[in-house]
Amino acid sequence: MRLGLASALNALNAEDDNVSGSLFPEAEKDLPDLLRDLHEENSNDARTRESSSVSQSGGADEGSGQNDNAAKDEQPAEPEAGKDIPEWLKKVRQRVGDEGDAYGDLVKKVSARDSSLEEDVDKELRRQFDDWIGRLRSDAQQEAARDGFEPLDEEGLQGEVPAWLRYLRESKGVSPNLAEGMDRSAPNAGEKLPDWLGDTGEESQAATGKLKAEGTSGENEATQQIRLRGSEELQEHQPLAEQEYKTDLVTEPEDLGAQAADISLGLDDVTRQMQVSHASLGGATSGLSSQAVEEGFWEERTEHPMLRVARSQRSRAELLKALVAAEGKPAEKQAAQRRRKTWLFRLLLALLLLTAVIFPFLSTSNQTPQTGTLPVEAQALMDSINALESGSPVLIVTDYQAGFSAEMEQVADPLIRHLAQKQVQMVLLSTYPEGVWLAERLLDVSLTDDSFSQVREQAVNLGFLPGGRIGLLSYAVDAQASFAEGVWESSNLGNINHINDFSMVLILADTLDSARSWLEQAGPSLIDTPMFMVSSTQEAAMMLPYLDSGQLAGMLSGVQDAGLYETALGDTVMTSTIWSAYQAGLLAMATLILVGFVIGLESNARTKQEEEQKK
Amino acid sequence: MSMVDLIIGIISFALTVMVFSYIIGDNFFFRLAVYLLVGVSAGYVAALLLTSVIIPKLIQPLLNGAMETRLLALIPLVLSAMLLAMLVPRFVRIGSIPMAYLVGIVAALTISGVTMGTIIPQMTATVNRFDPAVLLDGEGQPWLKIVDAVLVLIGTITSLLYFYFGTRKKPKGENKKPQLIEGLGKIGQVFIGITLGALFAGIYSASLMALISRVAEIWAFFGSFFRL
Repeated sequence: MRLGLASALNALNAEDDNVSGSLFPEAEKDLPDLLRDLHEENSNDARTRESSSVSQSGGADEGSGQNDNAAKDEQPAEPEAGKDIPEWLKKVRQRVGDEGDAYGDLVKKVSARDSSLEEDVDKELRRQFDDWIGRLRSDAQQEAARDGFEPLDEEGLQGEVPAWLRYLRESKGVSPNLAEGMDRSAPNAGEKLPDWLGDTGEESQAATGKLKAEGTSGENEATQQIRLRGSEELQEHQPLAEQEYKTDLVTEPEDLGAQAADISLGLDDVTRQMQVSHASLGGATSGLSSQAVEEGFWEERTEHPMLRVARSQRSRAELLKALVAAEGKPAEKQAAQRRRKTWLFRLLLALLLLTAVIFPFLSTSNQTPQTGTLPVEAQALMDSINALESGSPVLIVTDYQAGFSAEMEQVADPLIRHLAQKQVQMVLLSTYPEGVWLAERLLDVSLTDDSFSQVREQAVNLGFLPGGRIGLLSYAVDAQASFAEGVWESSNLGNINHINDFSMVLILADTLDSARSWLEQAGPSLIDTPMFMVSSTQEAAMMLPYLDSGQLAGMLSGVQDAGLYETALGDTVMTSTIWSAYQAGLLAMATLILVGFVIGLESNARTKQEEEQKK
Repeated sequence: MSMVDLIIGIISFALTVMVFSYIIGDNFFFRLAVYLLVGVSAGYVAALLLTSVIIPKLIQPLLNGAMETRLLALIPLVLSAMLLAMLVPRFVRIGSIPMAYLVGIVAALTISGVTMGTIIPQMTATVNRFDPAVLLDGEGQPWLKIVDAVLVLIGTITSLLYFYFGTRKKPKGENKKPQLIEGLGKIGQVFIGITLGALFAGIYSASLMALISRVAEIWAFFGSFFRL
């Protein structure tokens, strides 16, 4: 062994001598004494061999042959040398390793052998480790796929890690790989943990106790910082997962493996929460990551217990779901509520009005007829009728619709009776189709007294005058030509050929348009024949200018004037009950308008106040 | 009460209640009453036009009239046929001839009627209010007549100015009515508001009378049974 080692050293030193003098002059001083002695001895031997080889040139081949034999004998001793390597040899090998060109073939072989042995061990360990990691990942992916989770790829995960989290990881010494490992810890990974991680020894018990005592202190310090930082920035986004995780920590864990699984699960969730929360802080979707907006995302995840979201996120998600689900429905709801309110309001108004109108019919108290002064225009009409002679033709135009017949008949009733009292010949005409039978009805309603039977029989209903304004003008120009042959003759109106032949023209109109048509088309044709207007209260204000301009000789409008006209005639046909109901209805509506006005003011004031408070 | 009166009374009461049911919202009974009204009205108008216009003024002259009358009756017949041709899209242009004739006549009549029957008489009436003879003669205090005349004049002018929408373009691009016209228009707005208020009161009055009329008739109908 001594010879083998010496020969090896000789070979080493032979090469070392070439460089030691120039490259490492100080290195020789560091050699141990034994090595230095050997070095010196070998140097002497080398010099002796060199001198002997120079002096005994013929013995060189023999000598070399001896050395070869010696080298062959020394080879089996090399493995034994590797088992117990002295310190100095290690240093030598280290030095040789550092200086690639400084070692010889033997050292190269020894180093290659050792490194090959180490590589074999590493490869085996790495292969086992990779298999274990691969199993974990495949299990996690299968679990996630079964649960509806979309596995995050590394790029996506790295891309979604917020800047502050990366900064924390770097500052706290958490390597990205470790962080990724934490982030991507698969659920249920504890079930597949290796023995060394799932070991429940004293250390694990101590770690469990420490976890119990310090809560989350059992986690990586960097993770705690992440958790703290996240909780500070996301106070409203307190993850439910974290709470559940903490709860798990407080409860009795059975072993460290389960605890580690919970930790990894919790970290995984926390990381996910932070990613989602980070997206929620800056995202326009208010708490929803871009993935969350995708169709079907919420449906899959909200129904799964593995999804753990913050309360605020859950509430926002619920709100969004409600908004999406009720798209188009809120308007219908509001409209339905409005309709219900409107329906109730209408019913209330109707009941109030009906009560006010019906009450006079129920009342048995004496109701006096209307008293007052007859308006000037109504007085002019009365005077004109009083001036009529018996048998004078009076044209009565019934241009009103059936809907207004109630009021128009009430207004025209005293006039018709007044004309009947004067025994005039009534000629009825209408430019409205329904005016034909409304005229008949007017006579039937007003001339109920038997004393008016003769007048009723002499009354002529010319019927419908077609053509609107054109028909009116035609009638004003040539009255007979406007009707079919025989109508005029059969009506016993032989002495009337023109509108001016009538003693009076009485227009019963419910709208300004129909009244204006007569005033504009037939009015200019009237020379000596006065035109009077009987209108509803609605259009009375619009008729006044024509009265002021003299186009109308007189006017009677509204139930009030009709009541006064009736009173002036000395009749009480219009029942005082109707008049009382009319007054009660007006009073009720005026009260409602006032109440509505006050409520509207109060509502506006409240709305303004609320808006100011909001501002 | 006769059977006819009884049936009419029941139908009338039922229709009244059906129309009143609109208080609780649009419903089948209300629509039924409306459809009845529209249908009966349309049928009545068609029958009336047929018996009062078409047959006596078109068919009878063509069948029984003299030659001159028949020739004259051909004009409305042809015009009517041209109007009916508008029902076919290909012959719409044919119908435009009688339509143009009708529209032209109605427009001319309306313009002349409004001018001669409304604008000139009312302008004259407004001016005549300041006639000294009118102010001093007749009943009433002259100063009251003057105030009345001034009010009418102001109301007329300011109401017309309210509907003046002409603007003068300014360099800055602001198109605004002159301030004088704007201010006078606001005074006219007051007159217009008073007029519209009076119209609303009139509408309510007419509607109230319709309600009272129906209540009175129903009251009388049931009163005939219970001797109310």
